[in-house]
This record gives sequence, C-alpha cells and structure tokens, in this order.
Amino acid sequence: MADRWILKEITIRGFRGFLKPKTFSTSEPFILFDGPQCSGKSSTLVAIEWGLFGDEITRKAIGIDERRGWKIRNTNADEARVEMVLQKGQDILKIVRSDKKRKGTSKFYFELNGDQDTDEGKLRAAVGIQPKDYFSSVHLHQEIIRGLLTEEPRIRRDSLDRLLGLSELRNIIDGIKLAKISEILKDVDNKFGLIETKLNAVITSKRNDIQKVKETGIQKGLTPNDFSETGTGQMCETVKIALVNFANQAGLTISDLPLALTVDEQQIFASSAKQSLRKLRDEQPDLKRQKELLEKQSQLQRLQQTCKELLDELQNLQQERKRIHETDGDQEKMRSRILNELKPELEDAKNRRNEINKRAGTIEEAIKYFEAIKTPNERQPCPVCEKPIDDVMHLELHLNELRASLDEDLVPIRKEIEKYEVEIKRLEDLIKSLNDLDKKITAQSKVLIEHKPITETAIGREIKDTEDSIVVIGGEINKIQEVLKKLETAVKESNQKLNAIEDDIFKLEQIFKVLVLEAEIDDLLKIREADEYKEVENSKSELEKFADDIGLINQAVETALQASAKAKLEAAKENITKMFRTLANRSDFPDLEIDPDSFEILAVKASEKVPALSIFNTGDLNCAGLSVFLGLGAAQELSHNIGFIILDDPSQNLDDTHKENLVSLLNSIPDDKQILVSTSESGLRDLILTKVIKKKTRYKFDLWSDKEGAQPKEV
Amino acid sequence: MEAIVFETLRRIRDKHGPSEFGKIAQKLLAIAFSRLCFEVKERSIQDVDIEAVKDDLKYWLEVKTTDKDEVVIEEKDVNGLRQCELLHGGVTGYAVLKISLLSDWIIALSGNIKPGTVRIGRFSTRKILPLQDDVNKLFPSIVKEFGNQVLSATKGKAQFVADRLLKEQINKK
Repeated sequence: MADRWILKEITIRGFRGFLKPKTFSTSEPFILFDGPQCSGKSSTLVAIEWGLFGDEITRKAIGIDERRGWKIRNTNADEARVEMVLQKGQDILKIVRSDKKRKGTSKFYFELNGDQDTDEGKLRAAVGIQPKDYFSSVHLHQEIIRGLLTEEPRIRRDSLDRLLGLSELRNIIDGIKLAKISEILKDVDNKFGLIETKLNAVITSKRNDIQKVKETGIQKGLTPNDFSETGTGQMCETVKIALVNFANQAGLTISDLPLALTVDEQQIFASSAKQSLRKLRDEQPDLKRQKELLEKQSQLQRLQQTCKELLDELQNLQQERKRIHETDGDQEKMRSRILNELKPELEDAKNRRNEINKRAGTIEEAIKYFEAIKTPNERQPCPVCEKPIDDVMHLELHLNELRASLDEDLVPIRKEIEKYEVEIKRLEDLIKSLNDLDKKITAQSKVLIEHKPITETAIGREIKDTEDSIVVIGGEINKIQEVLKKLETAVKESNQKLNAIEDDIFKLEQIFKVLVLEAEIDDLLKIREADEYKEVENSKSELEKFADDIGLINQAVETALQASAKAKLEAAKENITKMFRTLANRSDFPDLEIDPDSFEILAVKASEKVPALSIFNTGDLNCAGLSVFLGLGAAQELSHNIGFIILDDPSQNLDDTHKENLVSLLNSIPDDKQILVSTSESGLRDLILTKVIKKKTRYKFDLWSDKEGAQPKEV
Repeated sequence: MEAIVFETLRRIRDKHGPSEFGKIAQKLLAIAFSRLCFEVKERSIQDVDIEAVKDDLKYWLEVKTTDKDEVVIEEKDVNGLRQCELLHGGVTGYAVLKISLLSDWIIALSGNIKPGTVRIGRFSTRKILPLQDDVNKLFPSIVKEFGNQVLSATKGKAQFVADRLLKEQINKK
C-alpha cells in the first residue's frame, strides 16, 4: 500500500447529511459503512470526492445526472467543511476544503508533508487523477451500474465511457456533432448561392437587353461578329472620312472629331459625329436653297391667292352694279321715275280711296248706332227724322249691303296704292345699293392698286397695267418649281450620303450599347474583387478551415477514444474476466468481454460471443458492471495514485449467491488496495463482517436526524 | 469566372449533358495544363483522370464538375490517387469545377478527403497554389477559343472533339 494514497482519516462537518463534526479513522484496509437508506453513508463517500475535487463533482460534465442542483452545505449548518488525511509511504497529504472563507485562511488548501498550497492543479498532480477517472476507477457510483442495465445504446455507451474514463473524449465528439457544423456550412453555401442567384437575374436581364440591341443592329445590316471591339475603330474612321468629305464638297466646316482608339473614346467620337452630322444636315447649301425657294414659292402662292381674291371681289361688285343698271337704270333714272311717274300715280289713287272712305265712314257710324239700339225695349227715334223706327234690323241689313258695295270699290284702289308704294321702295333701295356698290368698287380698286407694289417686290419687277398680276405671279411660281425640281435631286443625293453616315453612327451606337452592357456584366462579376466580397470569402475560407480542423480533431479524438478504450480494456481484460467468473459464476457464458469498437458488453463462451443484454438478467448485468469497475480498478497499468476503491451500495439486484461471490471477489483484490464499502443490506454487511479477511473498521449509521444530522458510530 | 465563360460552359453542359460535360471540362483543363508547359497524360495509369508532369512537379488529378455545392468522391477515386502516390510519388489531388458565376477551378490536395458526398468548400482549404491560380488565369481563354467548336459538335460527339483539340495541343508541343 506504499505506492498509492490511502485514506487515513476524514473529518466532515456541515456537508450534506452531516451537521456536527464527525471524524472517521480509516487506517484499516477495509472500511465498512452500514446502516439504513438515507442515514448519511453516501454523504460520507461523496465528502471524499468533494475534498479531492471541490464543486466540480456537482457539475454536469461529471456525468452524474442526480447531482444536478446538489447543495453542498447542510441547510442547518453555517459551513460545509471536509478535512482529509491521506498517506503514501512516508508522505502525508492533508486536504482541507470549506465552502466558507475563514479569516486568514483560504477555502481550500492542502499540505504535502507540511508544505501548504492552494493550487487545485497541484493537488490533482499529487493524487494523479481527474474527476472523470476517479469515477471510472475509484468510486463506483450506482448510476454507472444502472446505465449498463439499459438497452438504450447511447446510455450504455455513456456508462461504459464513464467506467473507462472516456466521457470527456466522448463529450468532445458529441459536442462537435451538436455544433452541426456541416449544416452551418451548407447554410453558408446557400447564402453564397443567393448572391449568385441575384447576380444571375441581373445578368439575364442585361443579356436580354443585349439581344434586343443586337437584333436592332442586325436589322440595320450588322452581323453577329460585328458586336466586338474589333472593327469599331475602323468604323469610326470611315464615319470621320465620310463627314469630312461631305463637308468639303458642300463647302462647309465641322469641328475636329476626337480620337477613337479606345471604346470610351469611340463613344465620345460617336456623340461628336452625331453633332457634326446634324450641323451638315442643317447647313447643306442645296437644302438651304431648297428651303428658301420653298418659302418664296409659298409667299408667291399666298400673294397670288390674295390678288385673285381681291380681283374676284371687285369683279363681283361690278357685275352686280351692271345687272342693276341693266334692269332699272342708274340712280338718276330711278329717281326721275319715282318723282315723275310713280308718286303722282300714288297721289291720285290715294285721293280716290279717301273719297270712298268718307262715305264709308258715315255708313260705319250708322251701323254702330243700329247695333247699339237693336235691343227691342230701347227703341229710339230716327236720328234724322225723329220718327219712331219700327224695323231697325231691316235698316241695318241695308246699311251692311251698302258697306259691302263700298268695300268692293276700295279693293282695287288699295292694291294700286300698294303697288306704287312697293315700287317706290324698291327703287329707293336700289339707289341705296348702287351708292354702296359705287363706294365698295372704289375701295376695292384702291386695295388692288395698293397690293400691286407688294407683288412687284415679291417677284422683283414692275407689273405693267397691261399685265395680269395673277398670271405674272403664276409664271414666277412655275420658275421656282422648276428650280426646286432640280434641287430635290441634289438634296436627295446629299441626304442619302448623310443618312448612310447616320446609319453607320447608329450601328456604332448599337455595338457600343452591347459592349457597355457586356462590360457591365463583367463589372458585376468584379464583385469577387471587391474588398467586402473578399472579406466574406476569406471568412468563409476561415470557416471551412475551422470546420476542417474540427473534423480532424473529431477524427483524432475518435482515434484516441478507441485507442484509450482498447488499451484500458486490454489492461483490465484478464481482471474483468476473472472477476466476472467469480462474481456471476455462470456456466453457460462464464466470461465477459467489452468490444472496444461498439462498446457492446459481450457474454463469452469459448469462441461464441453474444450481447450480454440479450441473455443476462439484471443481477448478472450488475455483476458485469462491478467486474468491469473492479477489473479496471485493480489493473496495474492505471496511472493514478489513489490506493483506495469505493463501492457505494454494490449489492443492488444481487442475490445471496452473488453477494457471497462479491465478498470472495473483495477478498481477491490485492492487499495494496484499500476498500471502502457502504451498504444498507444486512446480508452483505454480515458477509463482509464474517468473510472479508482484510482488517476492517466498521461505522454503523443510525437513522438521520434533522437536529443531529448523520450519526455514525464506530463499532 | 467571366460571364462569357460561364455562359459557354453552361451551354455546353445544357447541350451535351452533365456526364459528357465532365469529360469535356477534363479535356479543356488538360489543354490548360499543356499550355502551362506540363506534359499531360490522360488516364495513363490507375485510371486517374489527369497526370501532369513538369520538371520535378508531378500531379495526379481526379476531375469533378458540378452545378451544386458538392461532388461525389468515389472509393475508386480515393484508391486510384492513393495508388498513384504510393507507386509513383508526386502530388495527388482533385480538380473541382462548379459551373457558377462565382466559381473557378479548385485544384486541391486529396489528403484526408474520404469517399462520399464532399462539399466543395472542403476542397478550398486544400488548394494547391500557385497551380490553381495559373490554371484559372488560362482556362477562360481556352473556353473562349474552343467553346464554339465543342458547342457545335453533335450530341455524344463533343468529347471526341475536345479530345482532338487536346491531341492537337499536345502535338503542337
């Protein structure tokens, strides 16, 4: 027992089940803690862990689920404190750990042969073990045994990992899986894919534009091969020569056209060439002359029209006057006729009418009188003779007859009067009309006379009185039209030349549009040269590298895990088999093996190996767990310096025979291993007390009390 | 890659199909190696796609093309390259081309690439420089030069056209 640390003494206060200080002397090679459930036995064993590793034993990484949320300090205590003394040969290691800082001391310290230190790492170096390995080879916890009994491969594998001290490596592998790195990388790929999708959309749109421009260009005579930088320079030169030649021939000047070596210069050239072309088109002499003549022609046509309208108007007036003269004579003749002929006739007719009218008036009065007295009761005497009138009605009848006779005489006289009056009125109107016509003819003649010099100016010569202005103007118009006809051919030829140049410039522009769009597409792809893109791409590369490294780490950890598992299992193989034979004592499958690749516990019979879970009962599986643990714990190849093993309630699910076998097994553990066992089973207790041959110290735990806490007594 | 190169490759792939396109791309890549003064052999030994040798440099390359973010590496690819490395020395790798506007050839070491579906990104961490850059500088001009000839070939015949172009390139030297 000289090579490794054994536990000499432990004092526990305020730790979990303990309230008051209790010192356990543990110098003997076998320490038994027995007593009912929940009496403080496990608290005693866990206090050793806490003393060695502190609060780390409660963390998730330790792999014992039931310790999550553990409280270290007893609820009635003001401090949790563990003091341990370990011995290895002549070396004495004292460890003090508290959850409360005392004045002048730290919460944790250890003394190795009297030298005090507070470095946890140094303590772990001294005991040569990490918490994970402690659980695999020093302290057999029931959770590990329970894990072996499950059919869930992951839990079984985890339990074996813990038993083999491989949990940390397995956690790394699981952590890498949980990180879902490949999914993140795929997501990154998708995001890059989105950039490309957007780029594609823009480029497709630009390609469609290019296609349209090319179609337009091809309609104008370009070929698909023309849409390149090659040849655009030559085309610019052709345009330049054509413009200069045209200008020279027309006696015009154009501003110097810029150089057209690069595409950018050629675009500027095309713009300048367009301006020059516009200038030539506007200023070409034939066109200018054509415009002037067209304006002149238009002016003369307007003059001719005006002249014609004025003349027509005058002729109309003269015709009207002539027509009146022919029918009724001139004004003098008409006035004479009115005065000498019509008015006397009218006067005579009126006199005759008046004569008749006088008689008719008397009769009218008489009729009115008789109409007034025709009521029988109002008979009146005759207004002439004053004699009574017997038959008024009869008189009235006569009077009416007389009046009718007078009306007959009046009708022709009235018609006669009307005729003379109408004729006089007509003649007077005609006189008035003739007066107006005379005035208008005079005015129109004046306008015509005034218009003559305008026309003469327009045609550039005097128009003789003997000449017809309209014909003269028409002659001038004909002359202009003849010149225009000749000019039209010249202008057409000039325009054809200019149109050809314009077509070439248009073609150039189409090619430039294509080149510009293609350049824009290439520019879009220059996104890859942008600093931001490069930054993102570098980040992606870093991520890829990181993922690759993680993959390598994963691979390395898996290799290490396999190698470590194989090494540990190989080192403990013989012990495990031996202990399982002793403990389970099965005749059908006497041996036990663990497949280091699949972590399957195998029941072995000669060369036959079957999964233990398929044939073992829970007792056998518990035996398997104990065998693996004790086998690993007893293996000399293990590197730690702890010289004790702890079995917490190891007889769960074991029948009496198994318990006896367990005691035999405990006896087979080498003497240099100190054994600490806790049990609540009296059967195992008695077997240990009577059959374990190692010297023992027994601590009996009474029922736990709220006021006292755990109450162990050395028996 | 340049838009025009992408467009040409895409059209070749659309016309001749992914399988034949892979072989065409391999020939065009081999032309690039030849123009980079490598002595090029195709499927010389171990059925590896390209063997390229220049002075002390010797590359064994498996060529993979795709329009996705991953390629399938087969057992025979890995074994072929491993055999080449063991028996003849030199550098073994993969030449991977994604037909995409934002991609170029990735010439990558084969080490630690296992059979299965492999993301293209994994190759990019193993790129062989400056070889990869040299190839990518040259490859666009080769596509522009030969793309139309390959495109005009009838379906199923394009790889023979590409093969003829490669032979002509090798004979030129």
